[in-house]
Amino acid sequence: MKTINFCGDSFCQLEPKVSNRSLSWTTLLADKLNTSIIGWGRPGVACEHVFKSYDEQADYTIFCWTDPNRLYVNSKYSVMIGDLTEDIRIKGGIKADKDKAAYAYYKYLHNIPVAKQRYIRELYWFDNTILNNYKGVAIHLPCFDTYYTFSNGINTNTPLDDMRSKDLKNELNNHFTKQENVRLADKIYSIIKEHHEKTNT
Amino acid sequence: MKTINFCGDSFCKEEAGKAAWTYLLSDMLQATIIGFGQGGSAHEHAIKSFDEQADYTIFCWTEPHRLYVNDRYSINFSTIEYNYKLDKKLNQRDTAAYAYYRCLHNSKLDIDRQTRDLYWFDNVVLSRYSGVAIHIPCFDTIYQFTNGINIKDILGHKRLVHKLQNGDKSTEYANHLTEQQNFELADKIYNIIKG
Repeated sequence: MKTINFCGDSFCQLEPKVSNRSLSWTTLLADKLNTSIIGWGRPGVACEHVFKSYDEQADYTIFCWTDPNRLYVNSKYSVMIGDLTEDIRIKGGIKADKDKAAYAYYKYLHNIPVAKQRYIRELYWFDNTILNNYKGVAIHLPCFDTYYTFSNGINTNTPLDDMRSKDLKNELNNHFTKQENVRLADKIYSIIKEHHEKTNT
Repeated sequence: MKTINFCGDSFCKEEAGKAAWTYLLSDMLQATIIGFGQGGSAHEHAIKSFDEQADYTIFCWTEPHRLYVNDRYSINFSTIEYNYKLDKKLNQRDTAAYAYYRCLHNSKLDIDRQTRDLYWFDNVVLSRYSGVAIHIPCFDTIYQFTNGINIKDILGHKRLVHKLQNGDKSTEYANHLTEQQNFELADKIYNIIKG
């Protein structure tokens, strides 16, 4: 059986099954392609997690490229300012030393234009030294904005965040409603199918 | 007149009134200096201070663990820790930097990220550079450039040799090197450029 790997953040994280069934676009796409899922995204992660979760053995890799301002610390901890300010708003403060250090980092040290530039450089490096050797099919989905156009793999233009109706009450999986999950799975499936037809694979 | 740009940290910072290797080299090449390194800066500063108009560019590539904040401020853990241990009053930015190194810093990742930055700089920026680029590692050779001339000698090792020989920094003359080492380094780079 062929394999599919989802590398990214909450837009492709593992979602709980309802009635023994998942309606996430990740699962729907895997079913359409008759593939077994070997990896999911992780919520809140920085792009470094995406690099590290890449597996050259996968037949299909779906990348969800996240925001450049997230800070990767280690395999268990990435951080973003939005989560920290939300913690302060809801819980009245942050307690863990790591979170406090991260908040101070964003307040005094973080440089947004440099973070964007370094993100582009890192994607360039990944594209030209890692993905250029990949034998499978790579699909690149921007989460919030398109910072880089890959020369290896298939680029999609519309950021995932723009595909959301942001109808929070009806969000089901991966920030999408049931209908949006179906639509995204169909879209990626069509792109892959078209690729196979073009390349006769 | 030709121009020379020094992009890096204290190993190529301005040392006014001294026969530092930067001035010696520019005299030998009959080139006007258009930029110096900045003490304590991260490699991002070297990238940002690159000027494609310069006829010669001398890069002093520093260690990967420095944190670039903006064009005037980079952070170096040893300086922050030194000040912290001396009980010097740290400002909010330095306190944040100390917490960053203590709780968030990932040493292996910094090395990987510097390599990726240099790979991009080499292939996207330096590949179009028509001047002469010289790459000198400050503390370790993390990346071999395909564009420009890589120098094997590590500047920090020269500093270490005379520190070990003399036990302190008293013989440091300019850019962490002795007067003799400044002459030798200028000669060496000049010969590489002219050779």
